[in-house]
Amino acid sequence: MNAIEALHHADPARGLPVETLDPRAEGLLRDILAIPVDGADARRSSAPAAQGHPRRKRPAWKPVLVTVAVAALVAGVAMVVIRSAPATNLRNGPAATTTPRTTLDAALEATLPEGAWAAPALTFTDTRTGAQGGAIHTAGRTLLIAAVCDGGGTITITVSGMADTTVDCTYLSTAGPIDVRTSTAPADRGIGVDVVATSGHPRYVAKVVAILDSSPATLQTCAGNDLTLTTGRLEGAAGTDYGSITITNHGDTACTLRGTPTAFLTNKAGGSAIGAPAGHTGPSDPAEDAPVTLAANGGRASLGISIVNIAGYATTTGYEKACGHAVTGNGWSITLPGADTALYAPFTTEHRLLCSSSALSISSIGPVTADKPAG
Amino acid sequence: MPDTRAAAFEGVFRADHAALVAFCFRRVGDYELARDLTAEAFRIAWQRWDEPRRSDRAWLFGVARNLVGNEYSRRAANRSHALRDDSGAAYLRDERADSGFVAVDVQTALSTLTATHQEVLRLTYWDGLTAAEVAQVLGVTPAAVWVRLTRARRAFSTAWHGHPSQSSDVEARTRS
Repeated sequence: MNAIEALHHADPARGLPVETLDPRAEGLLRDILAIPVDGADARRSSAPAAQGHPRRKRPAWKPVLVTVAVAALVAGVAMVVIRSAPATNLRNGPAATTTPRTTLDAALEATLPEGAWAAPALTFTDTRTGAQGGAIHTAGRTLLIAAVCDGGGTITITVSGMADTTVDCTYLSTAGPIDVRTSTAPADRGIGVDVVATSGHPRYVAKVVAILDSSPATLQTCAGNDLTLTTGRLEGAAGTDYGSITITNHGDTACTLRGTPTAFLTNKAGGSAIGAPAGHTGPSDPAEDAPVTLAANGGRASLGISIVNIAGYATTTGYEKACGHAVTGNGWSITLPGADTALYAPFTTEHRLLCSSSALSISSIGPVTADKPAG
Repeated sequence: MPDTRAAAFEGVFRADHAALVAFCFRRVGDYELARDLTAEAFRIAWQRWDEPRRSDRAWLFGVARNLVGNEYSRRAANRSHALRDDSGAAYLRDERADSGFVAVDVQTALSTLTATHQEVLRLTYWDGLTAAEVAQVLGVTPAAVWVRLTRARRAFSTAWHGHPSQSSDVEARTRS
């Protein structure tokens, strides 16, 4: 018996049934399915961290008027808090033919700025009216709402502090994007957003998206040409080397960075990627990344990085095959959040042997954080 | 749509309930407690079913792992009974008798490894999770899992072969 067979053999749960559900489990299943899905205790804390912010929909068929309140905090950090208003049946009038749901989605996607589709904060549809969830941090981000509908009737988007937008849904129609932050509603009172069918039986999709702010009111997103990257020394631990890259702002004005860069290992400035792009560590939802301010003329921020050190593994069966042939890497290509072009950050001391297989992820990078000098 | 939600949840429940009980049992050594923790994990999953990634198998194991962690903390506070004391393992005693020697040796070998290495071996070989799932449960990249697993396998193999009472002789004795 080899070691791995022995390990299987010694499984403490070897004797447990693996396929069938016993009567007690059937009972548990019935009990759980009978639990009403609503209420604040749905957001208890035993789920793993970094799973995205709490975001749930109402399990309701009947149309429900849902209100989204946007509250700006003193520090300028806006949060979206969702509460639901009493159910109101607003459907009446004749039904009309509709286009497929995918067409609605495609039309809405075309309405929103490029890339915004990937950042939906809330989604309202005619079959899934409203959403519930926790706070959505909007600092450094623009909150847009856009809607598309068809099938007859009308839908109305109401944002407090702004004029209502009513969309005629006789034909496939789109509305928005509306920047929720242009609302004149008092910041400390929050901003209400309602999307509701006001007549007929329209099919609709409305999305609130929070995208990285390209022109925040106070602080600019750092521009690439004012920034330099410096790699720190890498420290090895358990086959992976960890380190940091320091971002320095050489511009005359303070600026902010938020989120995780796109990065890959390369052999020269402007070079192509070696291996798979760096995996992202830290929060999976950009909304959970805090914005970091880099002061003018030398302000700094950090990026945590890691590289799997293949030197010790080249002879390990399987790894070598997965690795592909080893090639020399000399640094990182990093595209900072909100930037259009990549910056090159050479390794501090020496080149490294890297796996060339694009199927294998051997590096990772974390979100922009306040500067912490490494080691 | 409630019916769809319930049906989807039921599918996951039926597919993974036993695996989750086994997962918890391996870590708390108490069958009834393992069932309780599993029930709690599924209650949480039901409540949070509409969140992104809620139906990920790895997410479910992550919830269970956190609940086991809570149980560890509770026991550490009590100090009244050690983990893995087999006090509730009567259910499995017969099954394990024939592999008792191996099990003891494996536990001895495992105990010489770091906690990180032990966990990646358990998740892979006992719980049967894929590298991607292990990565999600542990909150690291798949590449990191790959490397940990390689190291852990080697460390375990060394510890296993180095263990004085472990050899093919021992296995032969248990069979005769």
